[in-house]
Amino acid sequence: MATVSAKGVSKLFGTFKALDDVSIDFDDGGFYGLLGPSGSGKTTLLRLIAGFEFPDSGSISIGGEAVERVPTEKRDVGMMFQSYALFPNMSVFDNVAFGLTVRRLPASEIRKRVGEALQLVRLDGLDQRRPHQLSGGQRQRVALARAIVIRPRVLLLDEPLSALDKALRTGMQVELKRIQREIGITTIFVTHDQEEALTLSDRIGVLREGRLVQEGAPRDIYERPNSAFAATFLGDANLFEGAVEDGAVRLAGGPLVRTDDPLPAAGASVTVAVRPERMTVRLEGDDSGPEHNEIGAQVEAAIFAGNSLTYHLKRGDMPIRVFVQNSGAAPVAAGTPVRLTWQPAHTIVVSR
Amino acid sequence: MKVLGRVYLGFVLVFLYAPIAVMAAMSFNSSQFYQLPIDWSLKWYGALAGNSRLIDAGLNSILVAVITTVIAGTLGTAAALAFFRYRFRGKRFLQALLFPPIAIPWLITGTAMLLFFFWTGIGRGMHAMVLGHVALALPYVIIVVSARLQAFDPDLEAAARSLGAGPWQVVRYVTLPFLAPGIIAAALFAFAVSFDQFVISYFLAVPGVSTLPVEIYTSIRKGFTPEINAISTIVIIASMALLIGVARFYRFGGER
Repeated sequence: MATVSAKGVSKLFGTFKALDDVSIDFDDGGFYGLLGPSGSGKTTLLRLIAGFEFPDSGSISIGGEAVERVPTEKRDVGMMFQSYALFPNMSVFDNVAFGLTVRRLPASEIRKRVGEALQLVRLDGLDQRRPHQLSGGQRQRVALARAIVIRPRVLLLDEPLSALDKALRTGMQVELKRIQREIGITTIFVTHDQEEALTLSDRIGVLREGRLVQEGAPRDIYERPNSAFAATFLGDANLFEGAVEDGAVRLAGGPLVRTDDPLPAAGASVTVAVRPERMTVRLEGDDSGPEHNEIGAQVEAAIFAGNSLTYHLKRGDMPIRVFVQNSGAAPVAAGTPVRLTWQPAHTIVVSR
Repeated sequence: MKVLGRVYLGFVLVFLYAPIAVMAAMSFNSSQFYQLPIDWSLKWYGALAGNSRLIDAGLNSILVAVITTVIAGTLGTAAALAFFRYRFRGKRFLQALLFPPIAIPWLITGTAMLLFFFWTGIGRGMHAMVLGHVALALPYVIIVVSARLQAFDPDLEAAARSLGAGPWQVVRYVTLPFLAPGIIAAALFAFAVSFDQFVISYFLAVPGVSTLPVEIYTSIRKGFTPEINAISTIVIIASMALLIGVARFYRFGGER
C-alpha cells in the first residue's frame, strides 16, 4: 500500500508523443480512474507505473521511492490485464500461486495465501480448473486474485470491465469496489468508458492527446468540467459560444445567459456548457422564474427510452440535446417551437 | 460421390503404403528374389546384425540427427523469439531469407556447401555434415516455432514479470511451456531433415564414415540384399512409434 506519484512524465514512441509532461498524485488507498479516448496516453501512463515502459523524462515514485528505472519484477505492482493474460498451461491454483512461487515462499504459506485470495474473489473450489474451462467473469476473478495475492503496493487495472457483458459488468463493479476497500490498496485503472470511471473511482484523471486535462472527484469533474473536452467526454454537454457582457454571456444570435462562474473582462469570447438534464423544455405559454436562463429552440425529434426521453432540438442550425424524466406527460411534438430554461448555476464556463 | 471419394482415398493409401508394406513383408522372406509364397524367416535381420557397415551408418545417422536437432532447435527457437519480440533494421529481409533454402534443390545446396567447406578449410566429415544439416533444418524450425508464436499473447510475459518473475523465469515457466508443442514439432522436422538427408551427406561424407541413406545407396549399387529391407523396416517402425508417441502428448495446431 503506497502513494504513487508521477512528475513531469513524458514518453515518445517514435515521433508520437504518447505522454507530454504529465504530473499526477495518487493517494494511499484511493481508487483512481484514468479516463480518455484511445491515443490519449492513459494506457501508456499505466504501463509506465507498472514498469513495462520507462519514461523519456520525468519521475515516477511508489511509496516515496523513485522507480522510473526499476524493472517491473522489482516494483511490487499487481496488474490485471484487459485480456486477463492467464497462463493457459497452468491451473487456477498455479496461476494465482505464480507470484508466490517465483518468490520461493514455502508451499504451506503459498497454499494458505492462494486459498485466501480465491476466497476473497469468491472462486474457492475452482482451483484445479484450467483457464479455458472458466467463464469470462471467473477468468477476471482469477486475474484479480493473481494480482493481489502478492500483496502489491499498487493495483493496476487495464480496462477492467470492458471484456464483460453488461449484466456481469454491474456485478463486477460492486465486487471490485468491495475487494479494493477490504484490502485498502491504492488502485489505478484505465478506461475509455465514462460510466465505468464515474461508478468506480474516488478520483478521475481525464487525459487527452498525452496531457492531463483535469483531475478531481467524479462529481466535481461532472459538475464543473474545465474544458469543452472534459464536459463532452465525461457525460453529455451542450456547448454555446458567446461574448462577455454585463457580467453575463451574450450568445451569438441574441439571448443573454447568466452564470455563477467567474467571467473574464467584458468583450472576451467564451464557451459555456450546459448539461442536457439541467435544461427544461417549456412551451410558449409556460412560466419561467426570473432567475432562469432562457433560449428559444425547435423540437426536431423526441426519442423515447422508457424511463427517460431525449429531445433533439435545433437553435438555428445548432443542435441541442435535452434529457427529460418520463413524467407520464405526452412528449412535445416535432416541429414545435419551445423555450429552454436553466439556472445560472448550471451554466459552466469552459475552455475550448 | 461418397463411393468415388472412398475409391480415391483407397488409391492414395495403396500408392503410399503398398511399396512400404511389400518391402516390410520381403524383409521377412528368406528368398532373396522376392519369391512367393513368403517363406517367413528372420534371416535378413540376422545378417543385418552382422553387417557393421550398415549398423555404424545407422548410428552415425542418429548421432548427426540428434546433434542437428538440438542445435537447430535451440538456435531456431531463439531466432523465432527474437523475430517475435524485437523490431530491428533488416528484420523483414532476414525473415524473407528463410524461405529460399527450402526451395533451392538440395543437389545445388550440397554442391555449394562442398565447395564452400573446402574453400574455408572446414573440409568433410561428421562435423561438416552437422553444420550442413543445421543450416538446412534451421529455416524449418524458425518457421514452425514462429507459427506457434503467432498465437502467443505478449501480455503473458508482462503478467509474469509484474508478478516478480525475472527474465529467465518468464522464459522457463511461461514462454517455453506455451511454445512446447511448436518446439517439439520443429524438432521432429529438424530430425527428419537430417535423418532423411542424402545428397548433402553424400557430398560431405568421408570414406568409412557415412550415414544410413548414403550407406544404403552405396550397398544398392554394389548389389541389393534384403538386409536393406530389414533395416528400412526397423527405421519405419521406430519413426512411426516416435510420431505416435509425440502426437499422443500434443495435438498439433489445435489449442489445448
